[in-house]
This record gives sequence, structure tokens and C-alpha cells, in this order.
Amino acid sequence: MLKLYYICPELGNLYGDRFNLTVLASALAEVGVETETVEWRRSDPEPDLSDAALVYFGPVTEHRLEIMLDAVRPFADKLRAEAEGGLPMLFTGAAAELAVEEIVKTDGTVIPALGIVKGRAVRRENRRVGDYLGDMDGRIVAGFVNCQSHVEEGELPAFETVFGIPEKTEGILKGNLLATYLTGPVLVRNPWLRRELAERILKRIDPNAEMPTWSEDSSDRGYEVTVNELKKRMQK
Amino acid sequence: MKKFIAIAVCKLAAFVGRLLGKGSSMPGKLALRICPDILSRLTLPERIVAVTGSNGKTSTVEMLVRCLTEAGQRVVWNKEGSNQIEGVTTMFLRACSLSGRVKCDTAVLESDEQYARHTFRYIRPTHFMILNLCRDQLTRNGHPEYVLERIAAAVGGDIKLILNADDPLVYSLAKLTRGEVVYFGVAKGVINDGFEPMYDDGRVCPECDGEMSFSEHTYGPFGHWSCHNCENKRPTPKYELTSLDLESGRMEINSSAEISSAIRTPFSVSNLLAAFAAASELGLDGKTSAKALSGYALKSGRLRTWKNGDKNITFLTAKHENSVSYDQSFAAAVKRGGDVLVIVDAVSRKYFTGETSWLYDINFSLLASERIGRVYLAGAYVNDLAMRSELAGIPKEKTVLLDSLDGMSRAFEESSELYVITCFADRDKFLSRLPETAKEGQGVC
Repeated sequence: MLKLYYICPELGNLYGDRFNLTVLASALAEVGVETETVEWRRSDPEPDLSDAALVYFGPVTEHRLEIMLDAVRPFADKLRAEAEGGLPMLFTGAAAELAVEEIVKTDGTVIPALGIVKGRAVRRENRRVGDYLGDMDGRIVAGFVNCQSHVEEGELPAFETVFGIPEKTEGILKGNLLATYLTGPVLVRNPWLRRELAERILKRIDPNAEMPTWSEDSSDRGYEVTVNELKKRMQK
Repeated sequence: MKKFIAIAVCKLAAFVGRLLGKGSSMPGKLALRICPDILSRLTLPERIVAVTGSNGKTSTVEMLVRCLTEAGQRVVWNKEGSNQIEGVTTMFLRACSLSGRVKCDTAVLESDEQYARHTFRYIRPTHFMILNLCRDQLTRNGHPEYVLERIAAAVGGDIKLILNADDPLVYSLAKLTRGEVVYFGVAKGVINDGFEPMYDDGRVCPECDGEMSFSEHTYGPFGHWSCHNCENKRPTPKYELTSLDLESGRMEINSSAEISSAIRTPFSVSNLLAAFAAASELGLDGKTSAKALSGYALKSGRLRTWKNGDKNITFLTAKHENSVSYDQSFAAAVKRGGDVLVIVDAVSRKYFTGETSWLYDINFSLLASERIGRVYLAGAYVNDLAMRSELAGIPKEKTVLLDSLDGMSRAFEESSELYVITCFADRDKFLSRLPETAKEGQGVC
């Protein structure tokens, strides 16, 4: 049984993003792979991630992100090593700030983050809120941005902006690590991304595994409606 | 001179606006352009009560005003619900003389939680009531802690606070005033929603960041809380709901004030309690407030019923982007039993938005209950609703996806007991498609 680790669900649970794991688990179940979601809370002993198929950090308030950092910092080395070793990791919403080297707060204070990838998150006074379309190798991602920061000088960007933010890129993609401010939940709204992540999980376990043929569901139709409508908005 | 012109222009614009059926904030906007600090130049009433929070502002203000007017007070309030500074300006300038004297005993302001700090730069309320902080319109409000910061910036000085004891985030505002703080809350065992909320933002202590727990959730994410790490815990309320029968609407506050209300949902009961608390703090005796609140039905039309032959249709208002209101409506439908029609067609009034994450904070699994027959889904977001329903474990054979809004007619034909749940923004799309033979009955709230 594959273990999907959800780090600090009691803190990082905004915008319904715990359902990222629900749909990922469903996708894997569709192809006969059983999963278990392991919730690691800050009062728990340090997790053994050697049995993890995925590590997930969900959207969190700016204040609670610092609480999360304090809880996770003791095993930051472990997270870095696992990421280097190809363990899929997903950070959504403001949790994307955790993955980079440092966070610059609005008062100028700099706090070290987990340093799993290069870059820093710089917070603004006001929140940036709005729909987003991005392109990852010709595939469109639809999501929503609702955050106070943006990742700068990051490693490989995840998405090229098509619509929604002034920056040319959004998020970070390094190996099997995806850090994105996009909520939605992003894996619910983007079935192709969910299946892509499921395939990366499967490939890590067995690089020679044959990839499944996925069947469509209502999220595919919802995705088409969303992308088409947002594209119409772009043209106005 | 500027003051006079601003007042005159506002009054004229408001008069024209009323004739045209619009404009509760435009008159104020014009006045502020002429005289940006007009509010600080007015002679304001001795008592100004501001009411803010994520849920229930309009209802609570309505009920409080009812109490005050029944007690013979002259009250000025922003009845159109325009709760940012322009609306507040319109309200005061309409009510004042040309010399700027606002002639009333008490002003009651429904105050937008994000903009209270701007409004209060010019007028300092004497009483500030904060009802609750929960996930509501996160596209503009970010998250409850962000709203908390905005409200905190409006608290200070000697302002008297009236706070919800059951909400730990609201409680954290108490330390920001030098003035008196009083609380209202629901006693243990009085309300039980019967379901756990999908989220619980109250699990982190606002004092020490330690873990908190609830010995009882009374309604939504609120209840009896305490921190495991420090002394922080729910304060003892001065005004406590001590008994409640939602079927009959009978309730007691402090085991003495008996109220028989048209209200039928836990959140609305909490708002009534808040109104009672505020009225009491403004000097009204409990009997007067209890009498005013008894039998009072909210004008907002949150629950409306129709009879169509032997079929019943009930409209239960929810607010898009607000899980609490949806949960309450779903719970009401489950309690009564029948079929449900959920309509989500417009989330933003201005344009299509892909932001539907709020669906995932709603307890859709309530509709998986055996007491719910069919779940009809309609609107531009029908596929998102379908996905949400699947993930909530609602059996596919129970779910009916209507391919257009006109498809609602199927629900009206097939269902003998139908609960229609949608926001005010989509309400008219439902009302315009009601069968002509449907006769409206008497709603409660």
C-alpha cells in the first residue's frame, strides 16, 4: 500500500486542498493501486519518510506557515534528501513558500525556509487574488491564486503564464517536486495534472511500469468549461 | 461650506437614487469627494454600534434595530446593507440636518469586516460587536486570520466590545481595547448541528500557537474551546443561550428571557442572541428585547415555500463562497427529508471565475443521507458540483445533472418535496422558472 504523507493537515487545509490527496488516491485506485493517507501533525514524532510515495503540504495562513516551518525544520535535511532522490512532493497555496530557501516578510524580516529548491518567496502588503491559466509543455493548467507572495529566482518554473498574473511564470518544478500557489484544488480542477503526478508516483516505484489509460470523469468536463470560459475572458 | 455642500449633494443624490431604485453608496461617494472628512465634521449620536463578522451582519442589525425601535428609540441604520464607508456616509448624511446634526438616539452600522478600519478613522463607534470569523468569500477575504488582522486594526481606545465567546479568533480581539468586553455564547448541550464541520480554523491558539480542542461544537466551527498549552479558553458569556427548541422556535437566554421566534437555524439563533446582547448593553431590559424578537421574521426571505398541487417546494438561501450557510441549508433539508436542487450558475456577478474551492469546505456528504432522495445539480458549474458530489460519496444513481437551467422543470415535476438551495445571485433564475401554478406560502427563517 502506498503512503501519501499529508504534513500538518491541522494547519495547511485552506481552500479545500485536502481533496488534492483524495483525487490522487482515487486516480491510483482506478489503476488498482491502494493508498493510505498518513497525516503527520506537529505533535507527532518525526516521520519516517522512507515509505512515502508522496509528501504533501497544503495551503496555510501566513502566520501558521511559520508554525509549520518550526515543526518541520527538524527534518528538513530528510526532506531535501528525499526530494533529491525523486520522492514526489507537492506544495500548494502559500505552502509553496516552504520549499524555497527563504521568505521575506512584509516588514523586511527574512526567515529561512526548508531550502529544498532554490529561490525565495517575497511577501507583499496586499493579497493577489484571481484566476490563472498557465502552460506546462503545451498543457493548460487552470487554478486560482490567493496569496501574499511570489517565488523569485526560483528553479525551473512550473507554468508559463497565459493569463492571470503579471509574472511570466508561476511555481517551481524540479524533478518530482511541484510547488505552486495555485489552488482549486489544483489536482481536482486539472485532471491531466493529477494523472501526471500519479504516473510519476508509479514510475518511481517501477520505472518500467506501463502507464494506464485513464478514464474521464466530471472533472474533465468541468476543466474544459473552465479553460474555455477563462480564455473568452482573456479575449475581452 | 464644504460640509454643507457635501450634505446637500448627498441628500439630493439619495433622493434621486430612491426614485430610481438604486444608489445606497453613490450619494456617500459624491459627498466624500467633496469633503473627504465629512463624517468627522458631523455631530453624531451618543451611541454608535458597529456590527461586523463573516456571517449574520445584516440579520443581527435588523434584529437589534427592531429591539431599539420597539423600545421607543430613534434609530439610524444602513438598512440597504451598504456597509463600506460610502454606504455609512450616505446613511449619516441622509439622517442629519443641513448643519450636520444627526438626530437619533442610536446609530447602528453594519460594517464590512475588511473596511471597518477605514470607516472608523472618521467615526468611533461606542460599541463594536464581532459576530464570528469563518471562511467566507475567500476570494476577497483571503482567510479568517487575514480578516482578523483587518478587524484588529479597527479596535482600540475605549471601545466597548461585544464578542462571540464560542469563536476563539473573535475572542483574541478582547485584549485590544481598554474598554469593557462582554460576551455572548451558547451553553453546552443546547445546539448540536449533528455533524462535524469540514474544517476547523479554531485549532490553533491565538495566544500561544498551541493546539486547541473543542469539548463541544455547538454550530459550525464554533463551540466550547480551550488550549492545551496555556490558560486560554472560552470565556463565560454574560449572555448565554440556555435552551432552544428549533422546531417551535422557543428559546431562553440566561434561563430567564423567553423568546418565541420564527427562526429555525442555529446560525440565525446565534445572531438573535447577539442582537439581544447588544440591546441589553445599550440599556434595554430583557423583557423588551425578548418581546421585540419574539415572532419576528427576518425580512430577507431566506426561507420561502410554495405549494404546487400536492408538491412542496422550499427555497433555502445559501451564500456562494460561504460553507456555513450551505451546511445549514443542507442540514435543514436533511432534517425535513426530500429531494434537493443545488444551483450554482454565477459565482462572481462580473465575470466567470474558475474559483470553486469553497465547494470543498461544504459538507456535501450530508446529502448522502437516506433522508435525501434525489440530488439535482444545475448551473454553469454543474460539472464542478457533480465532482464535489462524487467526492462526497453521494451515489451517482441519486445525482441528476441538469444540462441547462430550464432543466429545473424536471425537478419540479418529479419531486413531491423539493429543497432548492442557492445564493441570492442565482435566486431569480430559480424564481423565474417556478411553475405558474405554484402558490407561495408563509416562510420562516
